[in-house]
This record gives sequence, structure tokens and C-alpha cells, in this order.
Amino acid sequence: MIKIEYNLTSYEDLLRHIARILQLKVNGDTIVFAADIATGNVRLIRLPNGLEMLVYDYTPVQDILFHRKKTTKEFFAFRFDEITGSKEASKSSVFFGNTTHEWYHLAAANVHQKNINIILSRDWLQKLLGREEHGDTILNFISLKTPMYHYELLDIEYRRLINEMTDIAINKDLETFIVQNRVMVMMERFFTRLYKKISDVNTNIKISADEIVRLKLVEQSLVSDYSGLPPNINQLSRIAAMSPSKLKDLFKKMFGLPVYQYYQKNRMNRAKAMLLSKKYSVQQVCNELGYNTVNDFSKTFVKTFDQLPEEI
Amino acid sequence: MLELYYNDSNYADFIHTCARLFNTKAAKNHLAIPANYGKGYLTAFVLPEGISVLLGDTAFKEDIYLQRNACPNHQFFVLQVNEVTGGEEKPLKQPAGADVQNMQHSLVHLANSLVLARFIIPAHIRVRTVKLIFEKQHLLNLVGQETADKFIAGYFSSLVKKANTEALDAEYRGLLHELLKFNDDHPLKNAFLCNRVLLLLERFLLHFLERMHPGESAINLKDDEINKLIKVEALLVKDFSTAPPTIAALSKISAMSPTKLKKDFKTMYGMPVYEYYQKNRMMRAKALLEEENYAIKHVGMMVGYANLGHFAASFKKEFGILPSELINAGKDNNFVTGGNDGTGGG
Repeated sequence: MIKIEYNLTSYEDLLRHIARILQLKVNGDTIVFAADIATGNVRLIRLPNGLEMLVYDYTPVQDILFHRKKTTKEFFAFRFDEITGSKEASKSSVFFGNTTHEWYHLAAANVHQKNINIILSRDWLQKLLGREEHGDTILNFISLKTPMYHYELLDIEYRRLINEMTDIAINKDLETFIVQNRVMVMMERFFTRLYKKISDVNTNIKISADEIVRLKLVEQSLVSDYSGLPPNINQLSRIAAMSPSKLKDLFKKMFGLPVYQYYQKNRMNRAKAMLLSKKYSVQQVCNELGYNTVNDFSKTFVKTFDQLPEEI
Repeated sequence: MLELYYNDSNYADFIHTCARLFNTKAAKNHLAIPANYGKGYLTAFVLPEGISVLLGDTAFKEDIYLQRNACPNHQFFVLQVNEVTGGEEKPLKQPAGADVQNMQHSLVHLANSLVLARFIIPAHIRVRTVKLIFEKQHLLNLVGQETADKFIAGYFSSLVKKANTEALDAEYRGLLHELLKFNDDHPLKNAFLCNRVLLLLERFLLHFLERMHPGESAINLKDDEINKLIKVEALLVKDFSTAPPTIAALSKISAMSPTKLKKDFKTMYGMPVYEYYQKNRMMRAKALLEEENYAIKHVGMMVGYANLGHFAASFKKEFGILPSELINAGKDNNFVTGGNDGTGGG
């Protein structure tokens, strides 16, 4: 496995950084991978509106782990992943998060993927959303949810836009204009859907600001420690100062999953992150996450990720 | 006939000029046409890039003659995308001069401020329009020096005759309709409008530059033939709820032989007659489904399918997904917001 660590917020710098780690040359704005690493390339595109994007189009020969470390200044990153191949295709997704947190992205060996990464400064985002009447609602939501990420499946409409970028952009005269228009439509689509989600939460179920605070406490107590049993619904209900049924209902609306599914999902993600960091053995991870036997842990892990912990 | 003379270089001013013509006032860059003059609206806005945009959906009670005077000191381009429907075909009383553009046909057209522009909007026809005014600097910012120069050289070159006009096809119509049905509730209204306008501009520039390439000759049709084909196209996409007109009928209306009609239609619209019909039909279905006001079955019937299975199959052939999948994709059931679980990146 190859590891690429970085905390850069300029994609131009990041491209050079990747080239240095892999001992490859940057040719123009492109790195072509060496045959023992991957087939394909990474390309930097500077859009007329000032955004930088990196387009990865490659099939790794061995696993490549991208590890973004925290930055002090807040930037936002979009990642549109199109993964081809029968089993993995369902993992195609849109990701939006901020750089003040640590992220991992594992590009699995022999899986073809196209990633479109775009980095935006807070000012840029502010300018984009500040023009909109509801922009503040979206900005506030993004700022409130820390640590946060937003994620949705890459559906047919996003795929169409990604394909158009490469299909139409064979016209070199207008290439960056064409790419920029698609990028802007993709972001518009993402934020429109995010807004709809926020307003659904706020209108369909009435959650007061106070209840939101209490639900966040519940969420915190749920994911702060995995070594013992999670708090039961009665305990959580006391923390939230609401009835168990109301808690279960509101929790699902706000966090998108039932309480213990949410707990389990985060627990497994935590496991994966720990394993990816290479600082812990499977046994240690297993203890940390409150599993009695490695066997139990492995079974659950496979169920979630289609991979054994040892394979990470 | 009403006459309007103007030399505004942005649409906010133009709307006020129009308001004076109709003895009314425009509010917030929006003009509702007074009932005694017709119906519909004009609305203006400016993109962050500085491009001025006019959206309009109007039908007037009398013919309107518009004249934009030449502005030798201020150079800008005017791109207009017009869809014209309704009204009967009638010979118009032309004011002096043959260079008057009669807005009787759906067209995409690029004009330049250095030249006087004159056109007539005939009474009782419905004109849906998007117009944009852009300057060389806007173009430079969007497409870069080299391409902007190429475009401008091409525009003023007499070699590329007719490159400044093209037919309104399915894609243009789709974008035009999306722009006109915008509503104030859209959470990212400004981004939505801006992106659609830039997509229109992109499409025009793309076609324009393609036509400039030596070897790829411009559409080699006479004005008269082009007008006939535009009429054929309008007829073809007018109503999807019943069977489309036959080639024989279209050939009769356009006074062209079936062979010539089929050949020229393909040259102008890029695909055979009924393939084009089918594509538009499916795009209409998609637009209706996205409005979320109709059931799938209802939409199927609106575009002329009695059998829901046939409709779904045709839809899938065009877009790669079933109508039901489109509807489900629109729902936000796969959206996840969560805490830091360490997977992500970028």
C-alpha cells in the first residue's frame, strides 16, 4: 500500500506533493502514474472563476491511501467519485466536507475510479451562497455541523454532468468554460438538495433549537466511547429530556439513521479509520471498540465493508 | 403598430423604456404587460459576471416594431433565444427596408451593437425569449483571450455567413423552458439562473466555433428553406398527446419533397425527423416528471402513451433510467450528514 499524507489547500501544491511522493514528474498540469502504481493520471484544472480542481482517472495496481491532515484555516472540499466495476459501483458518491478535520480515502487496487475534487475557500463559498436568499440558512447549517460531512449517492444526473465534462470538452477552445459550467451545476444541485433536506427537517418535524442541542448531546454520548456497551434508550431519553419514542423519532430525522444503526455505523467507521492509520493492530482495534472476540469483530466488519480487517 | 426606438445597453434600462411605451411602470426590473396591450412579462437581471439578461414570455395585441440604434461607441453582443408559438401565418406589412427581422419563427440569433437592429413582433403570437448582452471583456473572462479573439474574428468575417443564426433545437428549448419556469422559492435561485444562462451561451459558442472550422461547411440551406424547416419543427413538437404528423403531411406543409425534407431536416437539426420527435417527447416527459405535480401514468398519457410499460421502456431508452427511478432520485432519501468518521477526502 502507498500512503499519501498532506494538509495542503492549494491543489497546485498538492499535485507537486503527490509527484514527489511517487517520484514522478509533473508534465504541464498532469501526472501520469508509473505502471507499478496505477494506470491513469491526475490532472489539475484551473477554472476561470478561480477554483482549482483535480481530476483523477485511474486504476491503482496496489491500494493507495490518501490521508488529509487537519488544516488550521478552514477550506471546503467536494469530491465526486465515479467508481466502475460491478461490485464497487454502488460506492460512487458525492462528498462534501471541511479541511479542519482529518480524512482518509482509500483507492482500492484494481478498481477503476474517476474522482473530481474541488477545493473552495470559505470566502468563495460565502460569495456563492451569499447571493442567495436562503444562502445564510445553508451556511449556518454547514458551520453548525462540526465535525461534519455531507454525503449522497452519485445518481444519474451527476453522472451525466461528469460524462459531459469529458465528452463535450474535447473542444479545446471552450474546455475550461464547459468544465466550469458543469462544476457549477453540480454544486448548485448539491446545495439545493442539502437545503431541501434542511428545510424538511425544520418543517416536517418541528424541532426546537433547544431540542437540537439536546439531540446533539445524545449523539455525543453515543459516539464518544465504544469500549463499553452503548447507553440504552432509557438513559438517552433522560439525557434528551424527552420520551423514548419521541427521541427515536427525532434522532432518525436529524441524523438520518435509527439510534443504534447510527451507533454501529460510526463504530465501524471508527474501526476502519483506526486500521487505516496503521497505528493499531486488529486486536487493539477490537478491544477499543468493545468486541469480545476478534471473530465477532471481523464478522461485523465484513458485513459493513465487504473486506476483512486484515485486508486493510 | 406600436413602435419602440431604444439604445439601452442593459436590460434593466430596456425594461423601463418598454414600460414607458405601455404607459406603465416597471417594479424591481420586472414588467407585467398591461392587459390593454397584451399579456405576459419581461424581467431583467445581471449575472455576477456582468452579463445582462432578459427573460420574457409575452403575447401582444398589436404588431410591435422595435429598433435598436447602432452604438458606435460601445461594443457589445446580443444573443437571443426565441421560441414562437401560436398565431396564424400572415404576410406582414414590412416597414421600409428588407433587413427587418420578423420574429415569426423560433430562432437563436447573435447581433452586434455596432449595427442597427430592427425587428417586428407580430400580434397574437406567444414569444418566449432569453436575451443576453455581453461584452468582449465578459467573453475574455469566461473563455480566455485566444478563444475570444477567434470568436470575434469569426463573427466579423464575411466568410462565416449565417453562423450568427441557428435553429432552436431540443436542447435550446429545454434550457429556455427551465429558465422561464424559474420560481422565487428556489433556494439557489441566482445560481440556477446564472448556470442555465451560461449553458445557453456555451452551446451557442460551441456551435459557432464548430461552424468556423474549414471543411465543416455551414448549413448550406437557403433562408426560405430554413424557414420552412423551422415551421416543420414547430409542428412536430407542438403536441405530443396525439400521433405526430406524417412525412407526407409535413412535406405538403413545407412544399418540399419527402426526400428533400428528410435530408434537410437532418442537416439542420442533427437527427432524422422522428428520432428528433421522440427525443423532444421524452425531454418533455422528463420535464413534467421533474415538476413533481403529475403521476407517472399521467405524464405518460400527456406525451401520448396509453401503455405505461411502453412509456417506461421508451424513457429508459432515452435516459438510461426508468421514470420511477428519476422520481426516486429526486427524493433525498440517500442524503447523509454525519460526524467525523474519518472517511472522505479531497
